[in-house]
Amino acid sequence: MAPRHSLDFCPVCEAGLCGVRYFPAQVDPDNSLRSVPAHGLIICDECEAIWVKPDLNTPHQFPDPESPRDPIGGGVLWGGNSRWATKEDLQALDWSELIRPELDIAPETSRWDDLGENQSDSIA
Amino acid sequence: MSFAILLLVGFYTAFAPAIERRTGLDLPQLTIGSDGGVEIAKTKTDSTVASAVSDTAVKEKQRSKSSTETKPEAPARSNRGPLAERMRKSRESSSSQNQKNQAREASTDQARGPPLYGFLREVGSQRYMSPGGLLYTPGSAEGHRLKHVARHIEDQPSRPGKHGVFDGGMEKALLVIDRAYERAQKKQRTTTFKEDGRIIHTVDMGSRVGFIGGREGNQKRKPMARRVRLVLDGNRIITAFPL
Repeated sequence: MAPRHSLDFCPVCEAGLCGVRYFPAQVDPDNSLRSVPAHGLIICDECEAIWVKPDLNTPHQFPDPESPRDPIGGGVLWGGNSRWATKEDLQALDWSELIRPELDIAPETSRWDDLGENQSDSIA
Repeated sequence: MSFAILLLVGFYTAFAPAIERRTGLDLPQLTIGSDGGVEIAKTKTDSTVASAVSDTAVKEKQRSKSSTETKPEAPARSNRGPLAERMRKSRESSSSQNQKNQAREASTDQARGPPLYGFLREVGSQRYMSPGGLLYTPGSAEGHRLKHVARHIEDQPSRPGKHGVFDGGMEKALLVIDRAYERAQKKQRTTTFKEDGRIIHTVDMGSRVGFIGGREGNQKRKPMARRVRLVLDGNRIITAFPL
């Protein structure tokens, strides 16, 4: 599935889109007394390189290939409450000015968008 | 008198085997008793027959065994040394062990069902191994790496930038990816970049493997792609696409 809004093409794999992934405020999965505020990550939709700041010149990291976690909140990277950021999410993060509008993808343009969110289709 | 008997017994004992050989008779053995008298010992027949029966039984057993196992008969012992015999035995035992392992694998494969796409072997829950040794596991935004790779068997014309598309559908794409991995391991026309556990190979395949789609590719009338980029974590596929 492709991100709706992206900062740029990925400098690591040179093919992915560095999209904004939005994580709403939630309780820390490892510590129920701690709440994790809403936050965003920049994730390449091909190689899964992650930037915790909306700046591709800052260091990036790679998640675990089989059980990728959000490096800030500790929750799952895909699924759960997280989603590719909408315009409202970008405003909430105050990142609207950072994205490149020419890289926007309408969610209905790729059939893989639906597959990704559901994650229930058979592999074959 | 006793001397004559002794002499007679001596002659008998000396010549009896020769007479037996010539006539085929089974002559009894004569022994001198403790009292000096001649005693006719138990005939050899019983023991000979018994050993023959046991031999036959063994031979029968061997014959039935060989007929059921359809093993080739062991060659007659010739000038082979004891070490050669031992080596043959160990080879036989290892081949039988291999057969057992193959049978076990076959039964496991049977339980797991046919390979995915004809050649991806299931090696764990939702984990598939290609013949070239690439592992396709759960992960990615799509839920599984195979689904992620499947993004690259169709064009996404409205996707910004380039979108590599493999020719020939999923099976062919997986075969090309395996070939690319093989080339990358042999360092054939491959540039490799490693960083923090991720390995990125760009492999020139020498001929067309797909085309460049996406917005940019479509603007350029879908130019052909002859390179494959593999993003790996060890031998786990993260993504793969034509370039």
